[in-house]
Amino acid sequence: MSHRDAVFLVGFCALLPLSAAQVADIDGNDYLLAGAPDTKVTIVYFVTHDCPISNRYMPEIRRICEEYSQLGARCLLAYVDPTITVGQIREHQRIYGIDQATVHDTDRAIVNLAGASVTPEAALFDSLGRVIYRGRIDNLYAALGTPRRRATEHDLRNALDESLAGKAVTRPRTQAVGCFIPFLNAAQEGELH
Amino acid sequence: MKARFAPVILLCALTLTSSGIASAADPSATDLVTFNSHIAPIMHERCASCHRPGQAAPFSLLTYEDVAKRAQLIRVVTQTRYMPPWHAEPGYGEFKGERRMLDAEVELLAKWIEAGAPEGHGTPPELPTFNAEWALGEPDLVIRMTEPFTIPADGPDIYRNFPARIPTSEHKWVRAIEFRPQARTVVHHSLFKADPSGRALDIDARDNVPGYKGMGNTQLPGRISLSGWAVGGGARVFPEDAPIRLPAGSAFIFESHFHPSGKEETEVSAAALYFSDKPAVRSRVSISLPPRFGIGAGIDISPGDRDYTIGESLTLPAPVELYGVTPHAHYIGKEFKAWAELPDGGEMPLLWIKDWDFAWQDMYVYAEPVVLPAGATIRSRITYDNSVENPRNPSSPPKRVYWGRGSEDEMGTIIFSALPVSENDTKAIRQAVRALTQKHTRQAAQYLKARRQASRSSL
Repeated sequence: MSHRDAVFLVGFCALLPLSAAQVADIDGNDYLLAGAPDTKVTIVYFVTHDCPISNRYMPEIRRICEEYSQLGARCLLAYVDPTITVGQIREHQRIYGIDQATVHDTDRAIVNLAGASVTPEAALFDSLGRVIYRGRIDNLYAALGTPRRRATEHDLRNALDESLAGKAVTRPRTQAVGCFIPFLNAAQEGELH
Repeated sequence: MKARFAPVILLCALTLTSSGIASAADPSATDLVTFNSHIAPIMHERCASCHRPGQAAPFSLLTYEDVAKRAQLIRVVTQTRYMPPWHAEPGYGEFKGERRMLDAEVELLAKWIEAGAPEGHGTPPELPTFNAEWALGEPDLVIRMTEPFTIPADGPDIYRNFPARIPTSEHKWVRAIEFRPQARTVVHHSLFKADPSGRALDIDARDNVPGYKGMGNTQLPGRISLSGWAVGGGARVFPEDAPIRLPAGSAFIFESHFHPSGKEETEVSAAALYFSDKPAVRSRVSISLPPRFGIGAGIDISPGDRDYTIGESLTLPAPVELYGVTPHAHYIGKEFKAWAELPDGGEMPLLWIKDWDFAWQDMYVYAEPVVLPAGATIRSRITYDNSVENPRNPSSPPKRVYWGRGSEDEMGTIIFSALPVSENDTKAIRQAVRALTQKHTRQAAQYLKARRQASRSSL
């Protein structure tokens, strides 16, 4: 480990309690947001089962997970509505053909860690737990109610390509368009606009 | 998004501060806004017709729990007027079924959310009841798509026509139509046409896939428009003295728009038809400005042009009642405005859509018929934005756009459904409409010839 990495790790550990770096998935297994073996980067997708924009992205979420799993990335879906049950999450995943590790982020621990505010929104954690990208998956939606015919900027894929090639992410933050995370407080939401 | 929201929020704030708010549910500044006292009635009145189980909206907005957890989303979508969805400018024509919140209601919602979205004391108000069956009662005839159509999980929106034979041996007079989609999350709108020519069924029979592509069905001679449905819409009831004639043997066409939802869906739309015993005693006249969907309007939009405009006008030889108005353009249409200049110098607002959304094809029915006197001139103005900054532009980078039926081509018209005030004037009004249409037919011939020559010389 280089000196620089050590500094980052110290910083990371100071900011991030171990309980947040390691979360329990809906099957009861421990899941490491950073530092898991053979993993260069972890993609966390913040989703809700009933947001139409979030649901419309499920095929693209699935594709990205499949394509990048060969390259050292792994996927975690974070369901952020605390009022639903794990049974509802499983049913949603059956309908949309999702077979990825999943957490129910009832206390918004991962939401807060990543600084997410919308579903769908993606965050990339590097092996040291730094959020090297957070924002939209692509620019399919210019605004609520204004989808393009197809996306022309693929921000998450670009960030993945760059980070897996060992480069810095050119656009580390973008604005996701979708449904605000349930019970998001006004202060957090106010930062968005 | 930042740039987009800021002016709207400012506008809302200005509107709110300048509008005198008078409502029974209006609390004074010191009162606490609560769900039970103030917010539930607004949600039930404005949102619940769609936001309830089994309807098109993705989630219910009936209970405190439903609403409180989505408070921030609700605040933003109401302030930006994204919800409830209604695209005509308020105060510029009054329409039936206007899905708009009052400024005072939007402000109450914001106040409530700022106060932490309290539930309040007492019992929550009773949930509204809705008709489970057809809203207009037992239909005379229900038409269904003949085969189910599968909407894939992913991909661009789909515009498709589904003709079905109408099993009537004699002509009928349609007084009302009610639409019912099956896959409510993916059916965005459906326009209804009758095709007495039978050609729609032939086109459908060319392959094994249900229906055929395209919009407008302008290739069908003698097609009859039977109005339509968009998300949030209810039954369409026509003027009592002017039901629509449905020739025997016609095909009914569902001209439908679907948007993929992330999972595969199957649609079999149904339309309930209600017939009138009495034939129409008043004639209907359709006034398209410009006529023929703008084929004669010379549409030629350079890439990058943000403000390309077409328009047309018609001076009425006799008084008419305008019953409804239907704007039509494709993706890069931006603004629609229609008004009438009255002989006394006054002006009658008829329709204004500032931010046209291709996805919301709809007929706007006037709350009360708009009566225009002889000598009034109806004018339309349609603008297009063919710049790269228009996110709805289907071409990236933008390309030169001409008139055409494809979704990357453009059209443009505002169609008024009119009834002559006096039946005796029908002929004169139809003649005026015909003369304008003939002018555009001549212009269209020149336009199409020039385009053919240009495409030959570019080969």
